[in-house]
Amino acid sequence: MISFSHVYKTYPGPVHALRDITVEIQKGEFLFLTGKSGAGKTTLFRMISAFDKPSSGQVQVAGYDLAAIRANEVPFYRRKIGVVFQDFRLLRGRSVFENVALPLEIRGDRVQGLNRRVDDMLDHVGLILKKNAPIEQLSGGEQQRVAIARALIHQPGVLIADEPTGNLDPQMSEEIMDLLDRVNAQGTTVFVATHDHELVRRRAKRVVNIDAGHLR
Amino acid sequence: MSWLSNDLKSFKRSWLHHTGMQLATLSVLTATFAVVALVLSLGLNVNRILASWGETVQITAYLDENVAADKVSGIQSQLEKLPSVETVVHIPREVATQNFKSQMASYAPDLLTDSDFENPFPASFRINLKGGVHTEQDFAALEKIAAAVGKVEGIEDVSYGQTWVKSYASFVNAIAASGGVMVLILLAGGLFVVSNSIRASITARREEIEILELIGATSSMIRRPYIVEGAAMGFVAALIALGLCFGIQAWQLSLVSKNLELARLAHQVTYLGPALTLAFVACGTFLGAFGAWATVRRINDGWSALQRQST
Repeated sequence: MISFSHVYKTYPGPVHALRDITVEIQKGEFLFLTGKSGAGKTTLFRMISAFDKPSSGQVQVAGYDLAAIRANEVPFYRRKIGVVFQDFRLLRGRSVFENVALPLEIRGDRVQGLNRRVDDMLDHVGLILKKNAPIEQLSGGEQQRVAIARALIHQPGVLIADEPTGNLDPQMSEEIMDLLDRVNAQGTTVFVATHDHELVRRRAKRVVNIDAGHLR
Repeated sequence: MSWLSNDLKSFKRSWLHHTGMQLATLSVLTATFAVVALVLSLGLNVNRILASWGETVQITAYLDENVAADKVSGIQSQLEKLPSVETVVHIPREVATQNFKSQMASYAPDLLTDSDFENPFPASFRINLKGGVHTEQDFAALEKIAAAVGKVEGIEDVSYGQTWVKSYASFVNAIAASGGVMVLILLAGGLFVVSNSIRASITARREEIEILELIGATSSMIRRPYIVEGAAMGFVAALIALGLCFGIQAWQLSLVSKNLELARLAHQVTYLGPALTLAFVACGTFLGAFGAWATVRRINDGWSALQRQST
């Protein structure tokens, strides 16, 4: 499902952000990527979400060769994955429902089916009662649940989450991890980057560690 | 047309969410367009008034005193056949004297009854030209016609206010050239102000663009609402600017009309016509859309979200 093969990424400077990264994540697997700030986690995630290309090596996700993907294919590739960020990245001034419905609107889904699916998803993440609330009125944990709902609404095969609990308190972090567990149990490949070793220790999942651009 | 209704919904949403920024942008656009509309209107009216002065240019051809009365109509026919000549009116000596006396009556009332007054005026032809004289090229053509008139047998002298007409033609040329340069500078400045204002407005909403990129929106999906919004903003700003321009012009005309010396001038002043008004609104709409397109194109390069992430 996700495959990195001898991937290097060097920025001008030169700054060697990734060095010889080789890793495979199988369909339906849950994988933690741990590492300190600046270790290269975000660079890896940029590549999976097609915001950057490797300097050399191969990156394959959901059947796309991301080292060679053309600019006009990128939006269609991004519709096959779900992405969650530490800072939620939700549209201010829109309701919970409108934020979650956005990927389906972009895909051109019909209104009737779209409404039903968004309601189901909000029910799944426990936000159905707040569907019409503006984003600004939600707590951090609720906003992250909206972000996860938005990342999953179009049923992607892969969910990547970059520090999804970074802005949350421990209880809320556990709730978010439980939610990601449930998503994974339904067959979605989940790839989570975090520097919270305690959180990783409590979950019995495969872990890879990145340090100075090397996988350990 | 669901995309348009979505885009208008997005326009409404951005007004509700970024009211201050949108109001600032609309104000800048309106002020810029109003200045352009006022300068345009002023330029057109100055041209109109100057043109109306040029319409009154005439050639006076004085007849030789020795021309027999039966030759006068022949000379008139020759003059009428000259190119660019519209009308030729014969003014006999007696009529010229009468005209002079009536014009001078208010300054010298006794002149009308003065029996010692001897007629010093020769008979003449008053020649009106087609199209008048508005430019230095027209003046050159006028000089050629005057020379042709002077060559007609029986014509002793030709007068057309040479010095005044030449100065007038140069003045019109200078006004046209400096007006053109001024409008160009104003348009360039206006374009700069409009694009900066729209850029500030869109850049403030950069995060929206990044999020839309993240979830797989194509460039056209991302750019279209901003372009529709820019066009709507330009359209509204152009309408308000025209309203302001008409208001200011009406107010100034009402002031001018109260002054008897300038009342005649007020009658010659007009507002922008329907065609120009439509063109102005269309240009405003286009500028708004273009400014938005140029800005959003730069932000939405497919990699916007990248710039907010750290290694």
